[in-house]
Amino acid sequence: MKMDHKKAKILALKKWKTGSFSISVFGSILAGTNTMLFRHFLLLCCFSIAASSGAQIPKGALSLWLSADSGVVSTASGVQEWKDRSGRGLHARTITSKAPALVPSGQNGRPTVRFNGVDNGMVTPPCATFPGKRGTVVVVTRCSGRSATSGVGYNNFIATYHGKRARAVWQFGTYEKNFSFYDGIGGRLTHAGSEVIGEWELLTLVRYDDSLMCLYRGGRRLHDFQVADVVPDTNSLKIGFNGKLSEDSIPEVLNGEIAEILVYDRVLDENELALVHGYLSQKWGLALASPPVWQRWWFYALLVTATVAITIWLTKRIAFQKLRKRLQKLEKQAAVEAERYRISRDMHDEIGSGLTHIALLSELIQTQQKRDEELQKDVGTISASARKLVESMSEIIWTLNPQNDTLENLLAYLREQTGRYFEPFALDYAIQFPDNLPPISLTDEERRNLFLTAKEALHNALKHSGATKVLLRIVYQESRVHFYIEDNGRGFDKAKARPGSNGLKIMERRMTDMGGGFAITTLPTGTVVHFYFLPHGLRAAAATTYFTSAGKKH
Amino acid sequence: MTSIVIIEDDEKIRNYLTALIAGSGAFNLSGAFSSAEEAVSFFENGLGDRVEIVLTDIQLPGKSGIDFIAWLKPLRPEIQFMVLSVYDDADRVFKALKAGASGYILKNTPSAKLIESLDELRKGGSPMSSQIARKVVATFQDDYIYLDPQENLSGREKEVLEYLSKGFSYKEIAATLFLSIETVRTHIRNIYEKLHAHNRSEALRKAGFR
Repeated sequence: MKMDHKKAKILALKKWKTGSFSISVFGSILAGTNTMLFRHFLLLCCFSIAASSGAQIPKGALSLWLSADSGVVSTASGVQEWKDRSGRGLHARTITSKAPALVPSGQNGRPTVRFNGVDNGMVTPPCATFPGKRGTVVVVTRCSGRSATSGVGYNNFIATYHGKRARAVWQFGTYEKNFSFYDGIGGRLTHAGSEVIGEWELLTLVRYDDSLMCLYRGGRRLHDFQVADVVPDTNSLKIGFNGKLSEDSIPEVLNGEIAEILVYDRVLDENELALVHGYLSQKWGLALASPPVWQRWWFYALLVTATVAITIWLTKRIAFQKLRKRLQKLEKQAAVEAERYRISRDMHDEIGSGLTHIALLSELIQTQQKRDEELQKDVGTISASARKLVESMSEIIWTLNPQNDTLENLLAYLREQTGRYFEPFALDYAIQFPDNLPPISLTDEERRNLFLTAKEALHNALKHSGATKVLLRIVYQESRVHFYIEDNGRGFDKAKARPGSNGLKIMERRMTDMGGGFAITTLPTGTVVHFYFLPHGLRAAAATTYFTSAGKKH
Repeated sequence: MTSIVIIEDDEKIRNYLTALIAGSGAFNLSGAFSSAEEAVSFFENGLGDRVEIVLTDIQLPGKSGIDFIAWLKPLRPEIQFMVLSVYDDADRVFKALKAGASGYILKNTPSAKLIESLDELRKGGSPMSSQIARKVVATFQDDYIYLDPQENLSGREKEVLEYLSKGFSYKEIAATLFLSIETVRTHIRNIYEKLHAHNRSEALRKAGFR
């Protein structure tokens, strides 16, 4: 029942194997098809099993191959010879008076060789074992109980041991409950397995290097252990016991059966081991030990699912945090804007109406007190300054209002204010703004600086230059917005103007503070005030300053 | 003589305006009220049948000046409404303009200029600042497809609005479009009328009547 299931599984895997196994597992993860994913994982962890059903074992450096289903020469008195199928001709012969028995249908319908635990034993011609301290030994065997010929009940499967005085020889067998390897000097393995009596076992020993060995049981790596770093000698291999049946040796004859023995003079890699194990398990009807948890397909599936899930989760989390940061920034910005709006409202409602009151009432007094000229003049001053305050506050409110945060809005406002400003005077003014400005957003600071600088320049042209023509021109060039205020007035002496007037310094500082530039060219025939700035959104694009790159100084 | 009504809750300013209008010689003051409610009862009692201009503050105790305009404009479409505001405060002023006002005047306007503005309003002139123009443009753009042809702006009106929104003065617009200033004023007055009609039909639409 158990076996049928196993076979079905192997068969299924075989089918898969012939299917597409070209895409890498990782590729299929990326491709994201679930069924493919599942298939590849199953393949990944069971590939070795699937491959082993090919019924071909590796032959390279195979130095001994005894199989009870072929090459066993048996007479009425028992097994006389067990032919080596490796091609090296290490045929094992019975050297004891009593020969081991051939059990015709020992396991899985195939014959096995039974050793009686008392006086059976076979030897091969002398050969080197574990040459270069590397090698692999595989045994399919069943131990039936204690060995009668051993004080400790030791059963030998295969050994080179030949007496206590010998050195650098080994034996591989089992106590009742422990598999054992002894290197002849002191290094040994005694692995406490579960009950080892009465069950067929597929056991593998691998010697990897000078001292490290490992035991596999049922195809599953069980236990690593250290052995002495010595080169084993050349000796005959003993099958089912560990030496001559003489006075000074302890035969330790196996009380049990041997179905197959494979000896390689090299380390088999994992794939080769899987092939051997698969072959033997199928042949002898032995269930392979289920692979450890970390080799099961579902573990891989789980691992990958978890990895993918964690990756997705991390990505989302990072994205979420970025979003949250941006959101926080936006919220902060919104809060600042709301506050600006509130301040402008409050100014508007409280201070503004108060000032309007003052302006209107002083006007009323002016109209009512017509006889007192002195009073009229004073009240007229109050009225005028109240109006001026209302006007400047109006400008402040305009710059505070977050709705006006674009260059387009600023220019419209500037045009309107300029018109209003120049209208009462007998002076030609012209405004030239570019028709197609890119949408440029301005901070409230930028707006205020630009507006006040332009206003100051216009004021100077109107009040001090004696000009008859004023031109306000704006040019957009190389990500910079240039303002030109040109008049045909008499100009002024910069050296004289500087110490006296704070206005120029303030204008220049306003522009340099916001990363722009400011320059005045003044001649007796006219003055050009030129200032520019880089909108904050475009600063990274054009970092060099205009005036230095143009070779001028400001 | 043009009949005019004032609604202003501040007594001092109301007195100032009263004196100013009475002394101008061009206007006949029919009433000066401190709240919209007073003005409503004035009109409901048929006392305001000959009124041609209403000058009202926006912020009033009780009903606002905007509410008042919205109430009276459909009943008396021939009346011109002028809003009194502390500043050229686009948000509030625009609401009043939408409700039916055709002009606004700043409270700190010098007396002579104030009378001049009222005179202009009577003759059909209506001030519109760039900020207001931008809001008007936005209003007509918002639900352009729902508009009736009679509410729709003509090409010329759109041009005038566009220049206004860029801060051009009437004079500059007139020069640019080769029109007289009077024509520009007429266009602006028409824009206001269409804005009012639009506003009313929008209100009806929102109430589910259309």
